[in-house]
Amino acid sequence: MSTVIQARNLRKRYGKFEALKGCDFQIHAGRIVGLIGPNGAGKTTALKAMLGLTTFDGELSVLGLDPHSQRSELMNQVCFIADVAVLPRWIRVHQAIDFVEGVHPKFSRSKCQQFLARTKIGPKMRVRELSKGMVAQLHLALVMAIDAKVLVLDEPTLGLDILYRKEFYQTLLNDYFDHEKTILITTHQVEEIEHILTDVLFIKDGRISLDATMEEVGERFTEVMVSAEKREQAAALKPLTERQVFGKSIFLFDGIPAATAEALGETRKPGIADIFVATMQGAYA
Amino acid sequence: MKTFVSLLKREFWEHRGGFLWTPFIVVGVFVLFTVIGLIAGEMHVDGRDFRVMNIPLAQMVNGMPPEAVARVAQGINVGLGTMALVVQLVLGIVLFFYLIGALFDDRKDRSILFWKSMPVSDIQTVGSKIFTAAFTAPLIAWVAAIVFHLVMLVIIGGWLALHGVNAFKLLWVTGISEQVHPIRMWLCMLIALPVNALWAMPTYGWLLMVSSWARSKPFIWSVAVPLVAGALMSWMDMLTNLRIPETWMWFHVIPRGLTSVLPFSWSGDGAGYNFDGDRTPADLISLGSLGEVLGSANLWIGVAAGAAMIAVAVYLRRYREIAD
Repeated sequence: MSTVIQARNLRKRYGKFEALKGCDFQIHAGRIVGLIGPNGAGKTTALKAMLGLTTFDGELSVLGLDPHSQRSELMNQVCFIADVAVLPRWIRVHQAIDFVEGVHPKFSRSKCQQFLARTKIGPKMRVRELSKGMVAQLHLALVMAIDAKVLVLDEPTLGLDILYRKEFYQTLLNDYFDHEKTILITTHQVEEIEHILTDVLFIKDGRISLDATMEEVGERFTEVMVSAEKREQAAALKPLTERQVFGKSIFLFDGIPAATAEALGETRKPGIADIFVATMQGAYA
Repeated sequence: MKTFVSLLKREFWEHRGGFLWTPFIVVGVFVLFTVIGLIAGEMHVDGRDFRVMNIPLAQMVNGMPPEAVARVAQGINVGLGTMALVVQLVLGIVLFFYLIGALFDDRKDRSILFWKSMPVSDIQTVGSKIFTAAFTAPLIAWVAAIVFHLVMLVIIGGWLALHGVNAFKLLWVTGISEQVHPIRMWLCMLIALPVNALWAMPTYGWLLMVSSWARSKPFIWSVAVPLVAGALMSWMDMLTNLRIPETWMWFHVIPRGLTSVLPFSWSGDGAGYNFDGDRTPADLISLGSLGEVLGSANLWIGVAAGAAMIAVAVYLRRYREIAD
């Protein structure tokens, strides 16, 4: 497996605030990685560093390049959608297509037009006339028509309605992703992307708190519904969290044997969102 | 190359209103007022009494003394030069605001996140903005000036015809045509494009640098910093030497950084326009005037200062993040 992004002791400081306190991680080719963390945990800072949009300390290489000093070369291989609706408001759809075709050697006009044909976006429309969802569709069409190795999406669907969000990820998965491409996504709507992820990176307080494949997550974390009489027995096994539902306790465990869990009660694979909430406790305290 | 052309198109698309419509609208307004003026003149003055430069119209074709011919020709030349300069002034103002926003607006509306996602280096980006200010917009203004000249000549010719004066005859028979050179002026304006660009370098540099640096209000910064700096220097000078404040800064440095984007603005003391004595806009738009400025240290010092500030603007473009 070839490494696409490698960070070693990645740090970033804004005045007195340390946004990244030394992150180590690797992202491999052909994966869809979710970078997940609460607000202010350093997600966007980490992405900005990877995209050459900000300076950083420590080591960081993307496709073997230094993102900050070699940004324009890197952008031949890396595409990103940072935030929703950052397309210039004055530009017309056909101008945006002409521009990307003019500056990006790996852009395919016909692919882009195929994607746009499925939307209500017309070539003469200006971005300022489009709804937020349509701007996201246009941006995605432009980016998916570029045959890049890495695609970075930073909250690409924030503020869009559920129809646009579903369609966005579906298009991404069906028409873009293949095993030579790598996608890195941050979002708050974890539940919506967890089925497409192959890996997760949790970030908390400027540090990576979980770095695992989805299979590993499935093996490690177990949720057990325990009846009142076995509650103390379960609590002794150091659960991450406990919550009460209909007089029963639901415990979330990290790394207990399957047999132990089943002996306590009904087991279930927790969602990424549950694990996220459990591991991020105290993030805002 | 393909990238750079795309960047230039991008600039034109975004600023079509300022670069294309503004000069032509200004020309249109001037033409409109000329027509209104002529109509008003027709209504108030008895047509037979019309005089141009104190010469009755009827006398113009037959039997104008040579000095009168020279005077009319000079009048036409000054008129053409003034029209050209009006368009150039408008261009200068458009460019001033274009440069202030050039590296700021996309940081303000966050579209820089889109531009920076493309394989375009910061030098190319800044270069495309300078090229646009130096050539794209001035070329359009050049066409607008020629259109202005032609339309006005047609209007005046028509007006003369209304009074029984054949404009072509007037021009060629009397010998005025030998002393009026619109085509030479147009060529000179074209040759002047790179000279104007060199002259404007310190303003390009200063405005782009502020545009690239400011987190907000680039206009205030770009104007207030030089003015406050100048005022402080004058103040210090007054306090320490107790004599009249040094005016060198006010005449040489500050205008060069702020107003040299106005084309042909080198006829003042250090910068600006000066039409004292018998100097006219037509003299300004001449090869002699271009040669003079190309030979001045003022121009080349400005080019060096401008290049340094442009380099800073490129550097800041790489390090500055969005402005919000």
